[in-house]
Amino acid sequence: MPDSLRIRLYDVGFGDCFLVEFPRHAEAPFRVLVDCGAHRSGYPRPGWKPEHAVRAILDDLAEGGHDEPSLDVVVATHRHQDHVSGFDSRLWRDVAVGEVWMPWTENPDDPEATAVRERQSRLALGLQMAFEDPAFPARTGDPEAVAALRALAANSLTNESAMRTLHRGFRGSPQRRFLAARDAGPLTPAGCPGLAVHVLGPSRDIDVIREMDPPGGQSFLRFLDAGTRLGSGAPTEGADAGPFSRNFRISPAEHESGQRHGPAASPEIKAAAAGTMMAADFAAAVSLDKAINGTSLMLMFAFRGAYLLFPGDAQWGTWEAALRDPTTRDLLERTTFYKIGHHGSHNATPVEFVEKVLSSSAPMWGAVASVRPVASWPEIPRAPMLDALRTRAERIVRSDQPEAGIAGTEVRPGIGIDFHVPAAG
Amino acid sequence: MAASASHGESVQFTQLHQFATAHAPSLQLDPGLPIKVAGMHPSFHIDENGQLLVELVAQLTQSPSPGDPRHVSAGGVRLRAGTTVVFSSDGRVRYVATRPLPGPHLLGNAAQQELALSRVDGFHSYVAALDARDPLTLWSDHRRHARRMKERASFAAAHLGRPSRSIHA
Repeated sequence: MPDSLRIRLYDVGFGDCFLVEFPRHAEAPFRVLVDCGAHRSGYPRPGWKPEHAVRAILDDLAEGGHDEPSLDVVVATHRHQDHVSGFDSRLWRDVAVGEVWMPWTENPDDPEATAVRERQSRLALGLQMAFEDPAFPARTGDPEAVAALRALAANSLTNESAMRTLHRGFRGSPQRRFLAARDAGPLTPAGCPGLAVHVLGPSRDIDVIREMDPPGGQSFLRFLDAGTRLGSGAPTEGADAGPFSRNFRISPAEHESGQRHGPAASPEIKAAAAGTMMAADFAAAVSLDKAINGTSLMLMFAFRGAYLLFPGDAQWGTWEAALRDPTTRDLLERTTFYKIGHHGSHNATPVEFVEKVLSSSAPMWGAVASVRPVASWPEIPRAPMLDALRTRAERIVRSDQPEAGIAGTEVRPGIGIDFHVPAAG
Repeated sequence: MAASASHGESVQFTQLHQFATAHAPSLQLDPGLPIKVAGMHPSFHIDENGQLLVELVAQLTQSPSPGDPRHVSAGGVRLRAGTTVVFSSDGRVRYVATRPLPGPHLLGNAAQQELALSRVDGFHSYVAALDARDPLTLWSDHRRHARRMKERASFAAAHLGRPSRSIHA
């Protein structure tokens, strides 16, 4: 029995894709794939596609002469593109999967989950339509900001084909599990003796669910309604229900373009109005992003003394609940390998976790950030957070800056990085 | 408001300014920086004898310019030094409340120095706490980052569930 387990990071740029292999006696390792997706703004190199990562995974699964690729578990932490876009590939049809784990918010038979998903999807669509409106770039006047905003909103748009693979695809008839933070104890997959998977998030706590409902986005739903009406060609119901007669109204398009503000509005006022609208656009896109991150699965794999923490993109709500619970906090203290939350952003790794929970005298084995810097978002990854983690881990690895010669790691050029995390033999 | 002051008021502002400049060290203001009379208003109380007590409250501020080593700012918001002086109706100083910035003018006054340093620390940790909780920080470019505190102070932000109104951390 080897005295380590292998984690394979696939370099997907700004995204997540990990294959975790738990060794078994006289058997192929128990394989868990955690996410497979990349943000369009942060692909690792020109010409790269998420399918390249999928091919690399399939090649690895064929290792040792296995001609029928299989995975024991596929985990999709949450439905953001940078975590699931790779599942939009026909290649998955040939992969046999034992179980698919998703957050409880993906459960099609759960009315509360459906409500959360619908609210998030409607806002995502509303934002996309607002940002694709021809008047939008004209009034913002800053092509870079427009592109950054469109890219941010696009990450939240449902990727139907990818989600279809997760819900109905793969070979075999994988069991789907929709997970929530559990008091009932960890999952213990039958095929992998010694493995316990603690589900730390998302919670079904009312406060956490509230955070899944993005605030301040109502005004964007009018674009959605406008789109629906245009599509149907039907006369607008209730068009005359407003408080003012038609003579005193301007169309949303005229309002967006600022053409009808009249001579009384100075350029300063127009600029201030545009600035306010831009700030509202930005805030709505960010709140949606945060809300979807709030649905993220947060898992701790415990295996023969190794504690692998995969928090997805869990945000403050999930972390706070985990840190407040004494049992979970004890578990977090034992972390030996940490997949740095949300590509190294500041609000996905709480200061309290780094400074109060992780030990400086007995640092964990390692931490990894799966990231590629994007010019529009200079705060990701956040350098002071990575520096703080350096005092708590024997090795910090960045997927975009692979270094050869780090003990226990192996760079696979053009593919990713392997980690050999100690686990009792 | 200084900008809309009548002639009589502007004379008072000028006199107050002269007073503050002359007594800057006692008011814990930095003699090396311009002083702004930010406000002056009467205050009416009933004193312990049931008599009407009229006082005058004056607000004096100092704002070191960018580039000045005393300048403290974050995200487009500047930390000012300020002193509030309460005068009795006959013009004597009754109370002085100080909010100083660190500087050589505080040498020899350990309590004021400590207060000044804790204000700077408090300002930076307030900004850091907001940064940590505000999801907008994450997706901000350099330009937005440079004015983030200013934007958080907008009226609309109060209605958007921004963290400026709920800091538990």
